[in-house]
Amino acid sequence: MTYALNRVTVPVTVDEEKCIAAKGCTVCVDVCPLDILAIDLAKGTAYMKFDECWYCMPCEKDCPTGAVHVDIPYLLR
Amino acid sequence: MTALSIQDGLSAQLMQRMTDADPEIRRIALMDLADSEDEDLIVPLLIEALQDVDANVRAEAAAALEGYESEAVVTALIGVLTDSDPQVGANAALSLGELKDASLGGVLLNALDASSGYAKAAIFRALKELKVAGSLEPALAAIADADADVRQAAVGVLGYLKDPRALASLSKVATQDADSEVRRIAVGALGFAPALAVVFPALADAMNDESWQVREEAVMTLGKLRAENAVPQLIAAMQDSYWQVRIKAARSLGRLRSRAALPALCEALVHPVSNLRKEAAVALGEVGDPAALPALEKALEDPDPDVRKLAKLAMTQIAR
Repeated sequence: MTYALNRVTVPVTVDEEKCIAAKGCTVCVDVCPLDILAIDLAKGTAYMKFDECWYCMPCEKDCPTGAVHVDIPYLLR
Repeated sequence: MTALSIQDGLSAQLMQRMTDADPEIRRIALMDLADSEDEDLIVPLLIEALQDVDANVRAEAAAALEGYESEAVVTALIGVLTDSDPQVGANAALSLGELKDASLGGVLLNALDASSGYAKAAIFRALKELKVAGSLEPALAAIADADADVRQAAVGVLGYLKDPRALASLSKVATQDADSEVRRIAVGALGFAPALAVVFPALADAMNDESWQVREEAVMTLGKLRAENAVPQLIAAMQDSYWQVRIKAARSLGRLRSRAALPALCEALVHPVSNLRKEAAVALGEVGDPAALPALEKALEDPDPDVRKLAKLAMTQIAR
């Protein structure tokens, strides 16, 4: 049996087509109370750097282009 | 030129982004601008951005102007209420709705005549919390408006003003308006009446409204006005086809400490909806008649723990 050491899915996903971080936007990074989002400077898009999400949702709500999506676990919904 | 002095205060880089050819960069620059501190520098730039060619930029500017209270801001926001993009108008309406400075009421009042529909309703909503005396006349005139949204907002203004001169019109709206939400707001507004007699006929009428939300509001308003002579109607409302209305009837009967309501309230203790059982238990405690004790004792076996708790509380209230 293999162990899943690296999780490949994170709750906060960013649509790279829509993300405008390259144009100077940092809204999701700024609103996150846990400071777990970051801008990937190479790609010019936001991404989830640390998986400590509280599912509080401002990143999804405030994103000016609707690029951020938070997957809320079934049991929290 | 003011632009030069503005450039002195804000970073040249931000100013450059404000006029970038890419509307998304202009929009992000606006967000950064709204975060900076100096009001004198920000506000003129935000007002200017309300005229941007890009709708997203205009919408961002309209939202960012919230909290800045001056004649220029209010005039500019009123101007974009009729923007071709509905989001711009909606953001402007929200920003106007947050106004706290009653001295700006005059600017809003002056804009009423030239406006209609959505814009007019938004201006009335902004006027509501300012409670300026001058809004009585226009609000009374607007309750005959063809647009239900405008009527809702105008009736809201009258409810906040609490001017007895509006009671006759409000009674009429409460019973005769074609829109049920307008009737509901009017029924709620009647709660400020100084004497029950003036509004009782309208409220009694509203208790038979076809919309349950209106009936619910009427039942609440009668409780708020401590309408002793409405007890028979309130007891009848305990048989309403909507439990939501029954809950409010139970609350009002509890407030009135009506002994006549005991049978109806005891009956509600076994209703399938637990929220109604809770409210009935509370009301029985308020009435304070020991005749309710057997029914409350049975409610101690209720499957809902909240009902059990409130029944126990009601029993100690009665014993006191």
